[in-house]
Amino acid sequence: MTMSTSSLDILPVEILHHILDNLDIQTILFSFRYVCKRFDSITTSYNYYNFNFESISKTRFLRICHMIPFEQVVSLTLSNRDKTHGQILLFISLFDINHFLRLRSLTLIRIEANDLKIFLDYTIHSSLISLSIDSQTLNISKNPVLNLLSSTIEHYTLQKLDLNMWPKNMQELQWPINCTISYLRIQNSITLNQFYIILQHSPCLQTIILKDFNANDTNENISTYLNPTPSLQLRSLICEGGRMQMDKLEPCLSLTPALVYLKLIGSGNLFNSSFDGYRWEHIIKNKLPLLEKFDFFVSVFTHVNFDTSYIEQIISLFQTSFWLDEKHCFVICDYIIYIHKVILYSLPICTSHFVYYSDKNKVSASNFTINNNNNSIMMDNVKQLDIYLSKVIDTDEIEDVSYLQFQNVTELTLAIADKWPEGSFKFLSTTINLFNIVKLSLSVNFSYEYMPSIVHSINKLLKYAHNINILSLFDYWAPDDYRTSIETVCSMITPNIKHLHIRVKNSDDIKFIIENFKHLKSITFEHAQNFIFTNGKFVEYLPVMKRHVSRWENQYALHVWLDNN
Amino acid sequence: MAGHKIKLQSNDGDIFDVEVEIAKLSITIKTMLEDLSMNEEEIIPLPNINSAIFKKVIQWTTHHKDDPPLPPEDDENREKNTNDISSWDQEFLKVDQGTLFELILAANYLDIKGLLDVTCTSVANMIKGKTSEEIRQTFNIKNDFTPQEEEQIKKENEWCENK
Repeated sequence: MTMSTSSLDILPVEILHHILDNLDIQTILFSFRYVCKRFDSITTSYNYYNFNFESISKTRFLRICHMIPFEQVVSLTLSNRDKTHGQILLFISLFDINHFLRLRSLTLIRIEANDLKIFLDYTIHSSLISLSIDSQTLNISKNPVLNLLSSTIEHYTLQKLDLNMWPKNMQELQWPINCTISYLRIQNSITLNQFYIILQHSPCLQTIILKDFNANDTNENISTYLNPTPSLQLRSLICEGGRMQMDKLEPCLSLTPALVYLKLIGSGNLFNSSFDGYRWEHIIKNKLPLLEKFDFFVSVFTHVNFDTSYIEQIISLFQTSFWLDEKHCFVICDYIIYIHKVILYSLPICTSHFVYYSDKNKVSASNFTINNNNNSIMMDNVKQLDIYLSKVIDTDEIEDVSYLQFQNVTELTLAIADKWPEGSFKFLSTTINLFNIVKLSLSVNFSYEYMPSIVHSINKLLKYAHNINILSLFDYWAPDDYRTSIETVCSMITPNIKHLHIRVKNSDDIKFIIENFKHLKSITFEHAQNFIFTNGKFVEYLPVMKRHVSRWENQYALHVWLDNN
Repeated sequence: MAGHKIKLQSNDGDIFDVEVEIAKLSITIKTMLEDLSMNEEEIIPLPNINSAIFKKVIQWTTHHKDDPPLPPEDDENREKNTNDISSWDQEFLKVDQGTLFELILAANYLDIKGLLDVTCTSVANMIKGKTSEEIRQTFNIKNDFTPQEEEQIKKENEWCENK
């Protein structure tokens, strides 16, 4: 083999297949395949296809499903989210999940209970390794779905399970004994008893991710009849997005002495010990002897007369040798002045969603000396960033920013109270790697006097951050703002935008958008405040446009997943 | 045993003294040492790798010697990779395309999964989001479809081309 003349098109087929493992289905089938005859043949023989349909036009979705034999697919993701509303029902009406003979991973997003039953009938006989279910049906306890789900969990191949269901459904789910699951994510609150049963019934479980422990659970301790014994297999525990209740957490941590990683993200309480470094030091020393890493991000709203010197007191408890020398744990405590909020967090920051506040808006203390060198990777986990531009921007601060603080943000939300703040573009482009952004959400005032500056600046931003393809426009449509026409608002929709979320005043706004922005793959129309949709009018109108209305989601919004012809 | 070294010879004759533990990140070399009972004095030839590329491979394996082992790749364990590449690897992979492909071939021959994963991910990132023509231009690939075949492709995709 001569290597000096290597190029992509002559690499061995197994390596090209390895490269395809890292590409999305649309790039493989609509770009890579048509580069040359060899690539065409390689995509035909490739049999590790990942059908991820989370963000796709309806036409391409149908094309791909007809193009690739289902036995060549190992991973399938179907989604009823706004961008592909009604996709799961369409899939069921046209295709048979049982034809996916080699599926290893299945992800179902926002699935209805009746549709879920069809997939669970399949999963209990499949060889799935990974299963993710996000079902927002209110009460599924009366149909056989929960029993089927129990049987699926019991199934001997499953290693990774991700569940997002209504808490009541979660409470009624009987957790069976399973001997294969090593990774479990439950995006809900669970009770301590449920936690304990899961641990006892899942001898291979190494990682568990939860929202939090159910606040309404009045049993502060594990039921004595369960005779709790510590679980020695669990290595990682993550609680995110819920309430940090120490009376629930402490008994839980008594059951998990083998933890090497603990992450807690949620709202705390200044009157329990969630902010207490001394208490945490004590818990870790006594209950978690093997713990190597403790990441946390705790916040709480305070009363308006909060004494900011308390910030220094909180940090002083993290200045011990245990935190600094033993755990190498760098901690910051911020008090956000104008919203009266205390945030305590370890670095690098462990939450994917972060709200940026400027130094002038907060009082801070830390247990280490902050400089630009140790700041460079501190925000790498942040994927969703919110900035209240009108509060953040001030000239002095723009001068201070000299490095990219947020490298990996993919979703940016900007709030602007009135006109576009001068200097914002420079601030954004020096603080954030704007090329990674795919979704931009704007909470702006659509008042006619501010719109020209906002439209101009957003167009400039979208031109620069060219990977943005999802645009969400939020406003308050106060009666004074009616003079701003939908044409003006929509002049922010550039050809790069494929998915749009917008508030509209009436059916003419909807008609205008559908007729004038044919490149869009999906649109969510949300009611503007104080307006009531005349649903019938839209339902009549859309078929005329030969577009497919997926369905009405609720009385506030209409989701449309579009064909392209 | 840490510190022990073996001799590895590139296809252009250069001999490299490499720590055994680092060399064993290559399953190919590990197998040679263990199954073929090669002793530490013997020079192990690597007929498919030149010295410039082998230096890069040693640089990568030395940096990653303490990484946790990756699960073996098989049908049961072929999860989709994430497309994140660490800052160090991004810097390491700032090379011309020829070198990148030679690194992929070397990683494949030496059976170093981590290096193969990261180099393939890097190439995938260069392809992602591009049209067929942009991919041809990026990698200097000749379009060998006949005009009739191109017409057929165009027809097939006409109804769903929306890019």
